[in-house]
Amino acid sequence: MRYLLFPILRKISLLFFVFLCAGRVQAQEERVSKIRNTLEAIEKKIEWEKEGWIKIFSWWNEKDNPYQEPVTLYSQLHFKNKIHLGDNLNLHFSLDAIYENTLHTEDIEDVDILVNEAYLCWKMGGGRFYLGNQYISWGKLDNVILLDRINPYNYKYFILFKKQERKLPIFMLRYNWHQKNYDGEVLLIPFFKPSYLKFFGSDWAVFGHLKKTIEEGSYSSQVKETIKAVDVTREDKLDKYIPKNFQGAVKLRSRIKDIDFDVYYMYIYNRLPTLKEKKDKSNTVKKFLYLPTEENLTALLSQNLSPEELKLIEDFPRLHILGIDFETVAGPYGIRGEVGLFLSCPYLRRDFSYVRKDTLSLGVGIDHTAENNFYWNFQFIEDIILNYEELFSQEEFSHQVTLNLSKQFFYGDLILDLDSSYRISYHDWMLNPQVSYKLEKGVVFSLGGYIFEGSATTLFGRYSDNDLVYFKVIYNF
Amino acid sequence: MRGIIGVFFSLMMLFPLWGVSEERILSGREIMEKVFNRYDGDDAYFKIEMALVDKKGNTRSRILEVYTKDYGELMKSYLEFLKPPDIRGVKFLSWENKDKDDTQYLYLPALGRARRIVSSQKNLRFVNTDFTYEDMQRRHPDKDTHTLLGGEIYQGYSCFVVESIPKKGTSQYSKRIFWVDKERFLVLKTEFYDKKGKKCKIFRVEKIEEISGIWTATRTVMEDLARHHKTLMNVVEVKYNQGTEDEIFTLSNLEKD
Repeated sequence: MRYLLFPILRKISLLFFVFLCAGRVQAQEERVSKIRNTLEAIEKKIEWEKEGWIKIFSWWNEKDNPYQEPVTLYSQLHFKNKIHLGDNLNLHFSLDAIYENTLHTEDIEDVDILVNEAYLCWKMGGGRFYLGNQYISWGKLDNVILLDRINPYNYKYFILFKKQERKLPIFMLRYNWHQKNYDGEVLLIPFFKPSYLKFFGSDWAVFGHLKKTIEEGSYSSQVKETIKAVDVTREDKLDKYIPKNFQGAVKLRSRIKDIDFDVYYMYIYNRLPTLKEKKDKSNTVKKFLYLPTEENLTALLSQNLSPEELKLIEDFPRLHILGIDFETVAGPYGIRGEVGLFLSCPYLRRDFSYVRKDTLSLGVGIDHTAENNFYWNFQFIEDIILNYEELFSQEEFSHQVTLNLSKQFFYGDLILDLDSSYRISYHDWMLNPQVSYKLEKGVVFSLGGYIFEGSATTLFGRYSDNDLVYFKVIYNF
Repeated sequence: MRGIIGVFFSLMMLFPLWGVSEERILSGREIMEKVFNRYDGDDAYFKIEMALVDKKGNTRSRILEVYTKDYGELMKSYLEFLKPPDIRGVKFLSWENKDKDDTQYLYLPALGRARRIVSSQKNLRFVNTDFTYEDMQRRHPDKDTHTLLGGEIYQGYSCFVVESIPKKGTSQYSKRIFWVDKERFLVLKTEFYDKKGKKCKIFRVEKIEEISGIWTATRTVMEDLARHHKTLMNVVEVKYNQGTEDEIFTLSNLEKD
């Protein structure tokens, strides 16, 4: 590990260099002071709330194959703003500067400056209109939230980031209102935005480094050419801003006795794609990608598919979702649950052909904080595929449990955490232990790890080579 | 009723010796009823600087806003942390219920939604302060048996000293002793005793001010004797009867940015 220290420090220095690059502009004093004066003048005239955080997140994993990234550095500056434009009108926007470096031999660096949330909030009577890029948090469960389906997610690093951190903002018109006995919220989403998912070329891609392994392995040129031509594309219409891509959702919230509940209806695109064959009716491409054996490779080659036939299409079917959730307390326990009926969910059959099935998902969670600041949270999730027929990787009844344990010491300065998830039906699991310490100035240091286990076709098992340890620093300002 | 109590307080200001006769007349329960029913505005806003001080004297500062509003006999309250940055945006909503525990919600920005919390776990600390969730709730006099122990001068104020013993299963404490200002019916000091009968915490009011005609404790200390830890609260801004909107005390407000 010691040899890694220098490049890490070098990259951290570079990161701060990037963040502080505005400081270099100071040489051009006139311009800077002009900008500063203008900003100060604006700030005096309007009420401007600013906050943010800097996160430095680095993880190390054992190199199980030559293409794996042994060290990754991810740094993010998040700058959140709220400007009061009038008595009832606010502008919210946040900016992210993200710097990523795999510290790999190829030394791939990536710097992005992104507009994250950006929306106007207009308060009118008993309601509020929101227009722009926003986040929505629906559902009552934790970790596995069945009804939190509005925003897409960023799976670039699978689940290394917490659920809210993985969320991507989405453009919408939102209206929520409050009545004496109920609250309501309506969303109109004019454009399609999928979750970010990589299929090839990274440790966290669905098919990992499969293409590169073949391309640089001792295979015949026919094999290499065939695999090189394998690709995943998206239907054009999805990227267009057309009424056909319009989505909508509504939520009503009320309370009966001591139980809070919400009722949902969503008509949205599934944010995660399923791969649909374009022309390859024998499905040998998908079969090889999901089960990359010599036998499946031979079967794929024997089809003599053209480059066009080697392409798969990402399919994002529209879903009608009906849901209900609830939350209450029973003695010293918090109890919550969700039920969702998802119509026309996409699945792959055993022969890798594509099929849609209605699915009923149920989840119930219970949590408790003991006197000594020990917290636990247990959830049980059940997915039931209706009109079941044999599928590639889904059982008719799938059961999953999650358990979170947390213990605070020194008035919350030191926190020990354990997040875990076990998919009973598929025997794959994930563990995420973490220890965090908060300094007086609000800097939080965390040290933790991820362990993934299971067979190669399961959700967590697919990443069983990616067990890692990480170090994270977060400074809020 | 609130208006009558307001007039009552005005009279107290005119006749400061009134408390002497009250000492002879009032029982412990009557005193605590007067404390509970003391007019403290139909709605109120407080901006508070909070300092958490550990046994080594290390201090952590927080700034928070609190809104309260009366709904008949019951009250709703909303609290939001403004500083420091690591807990900014943490919000707490509490609705009193008749004859049962309060309904409470906590909003954590990292979670992105409000979460129902268990108010029956009275002995849990509220966001690492020396206040437990029970201390955050108003306590109806019916829940305790009150005994007037006598009178005492506390920090220059003539006080009733009242012992309140909780009825079975209603509190984390075995008893509380209150020092109640005879003129204003404001609690100036409270001693908390744990289940073993040992004094475990002391709440002290260090400064009171009359704001919009309502006597208000503007500087207080809650001290945990076992942990040698203190929570100091300094009220820097108070507004009463501003007509606070009902929307403040809703779940949707708790979840908005």
